[in-house]
Amino acid sequence: MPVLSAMSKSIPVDETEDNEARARALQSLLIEKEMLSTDAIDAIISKFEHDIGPMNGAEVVARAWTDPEFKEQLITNSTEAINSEFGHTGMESVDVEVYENTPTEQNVVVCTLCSCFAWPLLGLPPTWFKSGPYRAQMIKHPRKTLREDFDVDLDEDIEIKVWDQSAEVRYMILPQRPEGSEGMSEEELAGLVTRDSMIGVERLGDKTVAELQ
Amino acid sequence: MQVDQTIAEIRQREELPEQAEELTFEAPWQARAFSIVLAMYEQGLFEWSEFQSRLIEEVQDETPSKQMPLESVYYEQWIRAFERLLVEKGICDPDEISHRSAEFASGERDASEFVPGVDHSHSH
Repeated sequence: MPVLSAMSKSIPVDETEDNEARARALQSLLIEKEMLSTDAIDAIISKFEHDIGPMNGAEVVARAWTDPEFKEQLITNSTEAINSEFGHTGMESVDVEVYENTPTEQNVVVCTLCSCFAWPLLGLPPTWFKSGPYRAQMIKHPRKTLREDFDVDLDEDIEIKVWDQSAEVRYMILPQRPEGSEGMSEEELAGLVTRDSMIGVERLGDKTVAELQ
Repeated sequence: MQVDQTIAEIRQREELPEQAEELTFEAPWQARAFSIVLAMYEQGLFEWSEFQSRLIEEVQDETPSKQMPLESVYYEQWIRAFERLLVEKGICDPDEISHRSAEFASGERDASEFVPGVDHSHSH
């Protein structure tokens, strides 16, 4: 689809200028009304560019792989477990719930309505996560979507659970620990954890360390 | 957005797997829009659900014929939802938003007003 691909990259100039002007107008008005400061905005942008990303979720996963007690807490009381050990669920009134993938169960996250995401743990949502096709199809045909769009071909006896996020709850998936990772340090393990595995569209339990490095 | 794209096609053109770790905003206005909403929320000026319910409506109203990159579509919905929230909570007036937007679009105002320490009174 070379033609379509070329078109999608040409951002209509007018619309972008319009959006830039609108975003600046809102910032300008809110600063004038003393409801917002440029510093507060810059701090958030910088946080998302430097400190927030899937590496935060990966640390949590690696801890769960090496510390059974933490893993137990992570699954039963996710927000509290993450906050007490790492302090980065970020948004106070938002709860995080963690679901564990096993050899017989695959959990997948979707937000069918508006593409909310567990930002503090996973960073910004990828384009495909926010797209109409993902929001519509993952909930309706998870097995087919995983196979055709993500190359995850699950046996029929593996149960798929799709978790649709709501305003108050964000989900993160605890992937299975890959084969051959025995004896690795927590830091090395965190390096194996991918963002997609924490959304549930990649299955680490079926992969070896060599494939992930 | 292109309606007939598959998820796999969207994935292919958007990023290399190794870029997932440092995924960031495609354009400054997207970062600005996203961060204004989060900054206001963190200051407790609205409940997340108040913003989210409006975002959901904007997402549902999406016009699929639009030839616009998906990322831009999403953050434009984000801006529209936030403008409605500001107006409906009585924080901003629709006219002042469109007036101020026009000033930025025409170049009458520019981003230098956000730079700390810059004197905007032109008296220097």
